[in-house]
Amino acid sequence: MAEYLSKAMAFAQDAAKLSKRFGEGLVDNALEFGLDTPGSFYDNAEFKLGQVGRELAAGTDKERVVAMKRLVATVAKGQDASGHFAAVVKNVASGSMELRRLVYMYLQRYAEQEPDLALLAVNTFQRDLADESAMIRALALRVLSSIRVAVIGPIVVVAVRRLATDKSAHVRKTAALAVPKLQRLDAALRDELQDTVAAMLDEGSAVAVGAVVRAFHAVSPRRVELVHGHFRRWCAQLGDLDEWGQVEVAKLLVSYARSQFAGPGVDHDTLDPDHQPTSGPLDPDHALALDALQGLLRSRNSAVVLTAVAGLTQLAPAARLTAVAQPLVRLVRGSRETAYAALGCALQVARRWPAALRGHARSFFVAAADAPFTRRLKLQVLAALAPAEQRGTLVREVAAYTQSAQSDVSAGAVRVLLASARGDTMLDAFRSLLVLAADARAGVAGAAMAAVRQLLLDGTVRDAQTRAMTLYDILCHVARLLDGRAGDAARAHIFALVREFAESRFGCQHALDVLRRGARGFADEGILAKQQIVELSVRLRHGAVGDGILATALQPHAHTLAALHAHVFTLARYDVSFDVRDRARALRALVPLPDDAALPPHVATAAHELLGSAAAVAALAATARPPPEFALGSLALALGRALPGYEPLPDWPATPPAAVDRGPLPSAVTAAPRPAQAISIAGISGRAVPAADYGTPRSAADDDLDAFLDSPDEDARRVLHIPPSLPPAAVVFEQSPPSSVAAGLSSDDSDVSRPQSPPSSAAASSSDDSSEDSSDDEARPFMRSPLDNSNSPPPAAVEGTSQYWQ
Amino acid sequence: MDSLFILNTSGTALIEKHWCDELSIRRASLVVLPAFVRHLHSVPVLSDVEPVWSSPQDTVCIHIQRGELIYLGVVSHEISPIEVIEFLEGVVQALSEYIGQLSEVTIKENFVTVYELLTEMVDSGSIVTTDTAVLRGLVPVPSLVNRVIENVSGIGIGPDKRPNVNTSSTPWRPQGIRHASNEFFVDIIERIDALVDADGLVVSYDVSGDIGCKSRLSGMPDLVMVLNRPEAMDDVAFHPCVRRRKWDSDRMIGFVPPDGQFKLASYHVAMDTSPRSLPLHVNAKSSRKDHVYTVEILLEPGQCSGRPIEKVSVRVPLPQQAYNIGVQCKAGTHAVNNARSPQVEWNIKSMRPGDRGLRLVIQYYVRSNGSAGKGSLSPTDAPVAEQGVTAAFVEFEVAGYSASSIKVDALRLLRESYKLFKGVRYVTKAGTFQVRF
Repeated sequence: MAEYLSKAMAFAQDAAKLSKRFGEGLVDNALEFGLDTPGSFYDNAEFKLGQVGRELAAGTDKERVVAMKRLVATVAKGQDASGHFAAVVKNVASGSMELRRLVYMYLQRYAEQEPDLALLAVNTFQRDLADESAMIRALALRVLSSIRVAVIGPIVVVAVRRLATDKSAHVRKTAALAVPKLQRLDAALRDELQDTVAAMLDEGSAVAVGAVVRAFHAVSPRRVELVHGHFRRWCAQLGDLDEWGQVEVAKLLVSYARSQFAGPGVDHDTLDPDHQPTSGPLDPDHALALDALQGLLRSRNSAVVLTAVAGLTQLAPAARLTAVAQPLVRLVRGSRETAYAALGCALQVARRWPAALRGHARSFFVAAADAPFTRRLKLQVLAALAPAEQRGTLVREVAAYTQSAQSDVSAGAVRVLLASARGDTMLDAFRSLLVLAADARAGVAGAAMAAVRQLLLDGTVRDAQTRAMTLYDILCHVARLLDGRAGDAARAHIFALVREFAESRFGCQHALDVLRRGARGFADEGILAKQQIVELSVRLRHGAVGDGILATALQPHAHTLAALHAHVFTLARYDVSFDVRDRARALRALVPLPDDAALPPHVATAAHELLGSAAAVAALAATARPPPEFALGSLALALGRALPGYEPLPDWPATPPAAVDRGPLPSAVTAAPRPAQAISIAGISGRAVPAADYGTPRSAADDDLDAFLDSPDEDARRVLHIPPSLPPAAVVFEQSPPSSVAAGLSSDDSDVSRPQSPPSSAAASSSDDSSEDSSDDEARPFMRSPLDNSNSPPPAAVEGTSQYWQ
Repeated sequence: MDSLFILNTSGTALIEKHWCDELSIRRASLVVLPAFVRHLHSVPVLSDVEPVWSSPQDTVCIHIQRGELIYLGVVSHEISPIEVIEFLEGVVQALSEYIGQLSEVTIKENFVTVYELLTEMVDSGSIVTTDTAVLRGLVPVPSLVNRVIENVSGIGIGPDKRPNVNTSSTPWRPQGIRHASNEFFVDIIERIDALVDADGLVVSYDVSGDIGCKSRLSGMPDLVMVLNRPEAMDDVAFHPCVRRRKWDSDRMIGFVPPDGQFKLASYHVAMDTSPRSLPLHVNAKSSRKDHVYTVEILLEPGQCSGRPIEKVSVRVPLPQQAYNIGVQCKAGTHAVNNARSPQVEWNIKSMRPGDRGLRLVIQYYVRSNGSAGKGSLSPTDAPVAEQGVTAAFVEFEVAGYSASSIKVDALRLLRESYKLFKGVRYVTKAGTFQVRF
């Protein structure tokens, strides 16, 4: 009894001690963490940097983690925390994974500034490179390669070469990602890296291919001969890669195809969708690349979709480009920023291949809540589509825009109207433009006047004007607008229009009056209008000297004209705007005022030519360099200038290189009873992967997703020992009667949901013939795993998922 | 990609992460960032700032705005803008899966997780992954329990678990997942984007749908989803787990689901634009008599297979100079909001099909333009557009109804023998539903 009592006493004492200690700890921790909320922990990090040295040197793991968190917070805020580098490096071999991760983050940030101290850590990393955990190996290599210290370059190259044949795809991916970093660190390593990368290209795992291609692009982008053997495999594998890998590989395929195949005909610009390209059938490999790219259009990742769209516009014949319309429109409906990027692409497509977006103009209609840049791009797309689009809806929509509260929408609508002014609706459009030219909003009126001027100048309204209104009417109407409150740009366009038609039969009659009007209000005009008045004056003055129609018209008013001309030039000479002063000075040198010195004869002839003929001006304008064209979807296109790293797309070769061996053709393509996009991965399971190099042979099923997924149900059932008669799990959906489900399934999907497919039985068993023979073996290891696991305790992963559900 | 900043709307950097050399780091945080913030503030409305902006020193700022935060990427080399934008969206997605609602406070509370995630997502400037299923293998998810234990006892138990990456052929689904009960829920959410003009004509009517799933299944299940009218979808985008070939040949969605919540597919259905096709008919008129402007809006519920239309809200922005605003309506609540520019909001809890139409009448006056300093414009001469109302925005929600009438016919489970509990929910919402006057 006493024994028990003493035991109980001891137990009680222990419990009391424990609870006291726990209580103290609780208070301590509450002081440090509970009251000090994580948010303020972040806020106060740099004020407590003083404690960090002590905490790192002496403390427990926990204290060191706290210290490291302070440092990382300081780094994350963009403040300097480099002072503790030496103390941090000591913790690089810590047993705590959490601490190590924090140390790694710190190292990557500051190793460049402390190369000598960073070298102390290299040994630890090298040891980790041989760790049995794939994660540790990958992490060590990533940190090692991220340390920007040139001295360790050769060590890392050796590590990369060793881990490039690692058995874990994740480690191989990390090795590939290290290559561009090394290349940047020290360009002298390129040769060594090139060999490593060439060996890496045989990579078969979908996880790592993207990284390998990126490494290839960084080290030896010009070595096309290395791509030949992998081209078909990559085309086939494209759909299974991770999303950013797809972007990378798709780009490589496009630039490869542009350099290796004959162009699909030059008639990209044709408006006619039924027009067949004149060139012959595509190279089968070219078609393979197109199919692979087209498969990416259904990705959920908009970067993948736009890369595929850009690739298709660069590779595909114009007739196939209709495939890009729906995906583009999908992205335009996306978030504000995605829509911005997608509209940039859509604009290029609409300008170059309007037929591809035919029928989709609705999707570019402006919504009232659109941001200004979205509105602008949408209207530009509409303007590009307008000539090919059906008139009815578009015109009604555009008419609504002209009444919009946002003047930029109305101004944009004017441009759409201008673009759609073709054929029989031309006159209506022209009339609307004339009405809009009197709009009270300066921007709208300016745009409308510019459109009117352009239509008059290029002669599209010539036929219409004879029927409805004469040029004289138009010019009078336009000149009358000067009495209104038209904006500067609109007035400038009016003066320019009068000048341009001064030589015509109608224009000559009131040109002088318009000049008088301009001279009278010269001081109140805007800069643009002032310049145009000066030009009008010169034009009339010059025309009066010759013997044209204008000279006859001006004959009786020669004195008035001379006086007006001198007056305008005097006003312009003392104008506040230097643009106006400059213009006046330049023109005065060409057409001197009466009291100026006369021109030397050769200058006079040149001036006469320049002022007299529009052709000379046009020829001058043509010498200006056209804006450079950039690849679709590139940053250069968005900015209008190329940043470093921009590579213009190679042009199609004049004569395509001779046929080369591009590896075994994926069997699905040669067999091809299915639609062309359906590319089997099963076909490439026989690729040349040096399986012997890897530590543990990977089972084929690990890589052949489709083979696994498509293996017939019967096989799976046999493996699982399920009698085939077991009914599929009952499906009870809201709004569908439960009894009809099983029956509805078998009858429905055979006649309704599968209109084109061949009359086959169960979908899964028919979908892949090529993998049928191998599926027996491949499915088994995979299928057994759930059964094995069922007896063991739930693995760690469940914990993570249960958190997810809180 | 050189640097990433997470800013609050006033332009203070909460987190910055760099993947470039020391010089570029200095340039990004000392020159480019301040310049970008100045640019941000030079535009009156924040959402009007163009996502791609050419900043000084030959760098380019690409940003997205989500909630209260701005995510800014700084690049100095050629990279597709969409790649940066999509990556930033991936960052937002991953962060919100890790730490829930994103705000200045939660970012600060979880800065270590944020920083670790950014470290894993980008490797020295090139984007590695944005897939949360992959990231979950690399960076442990901070759970509430872990955090509490860590804070109270000071011993971290969660993060010390060695993470593991899944390199199998289904990177989105690790092996050996167990759940006590096996459940699979499908949410079909359809958004209606429509534009109705003054005459009641439907200018455009599109339905975009998302098939969202919540999966709690054990083992390696293989599911096949059969839809009733797959041919009606003119555009589909899939989660990577979907087998494209099965869709191409049979028009069925076959997939091995990731664990947890994910978006299986999104689709688009072009709808018939005949006048009475919308689930909610809206008629809007605006008129003017002397100095009184009148706006009239008539709402009439359509046939939503008998389901009530809920949370109906009509927003009518009025011109800047409107005053003395009077609103009349028989049903629902209305409010006049005068924050930046006046606007009227009209909320109706629920409308049943077959109900009589509801009417809202707004009357207001317009102040003459004198205060704005544009003395030359007298109010009578200003265009109608500047004084009238140009658009009204409508929002609503119909539960249990899909506008495109796309339904899930069946969901079959292959390769696993357990009983599966399933559920499907349909919701139709208004996306950008706009009525033009």
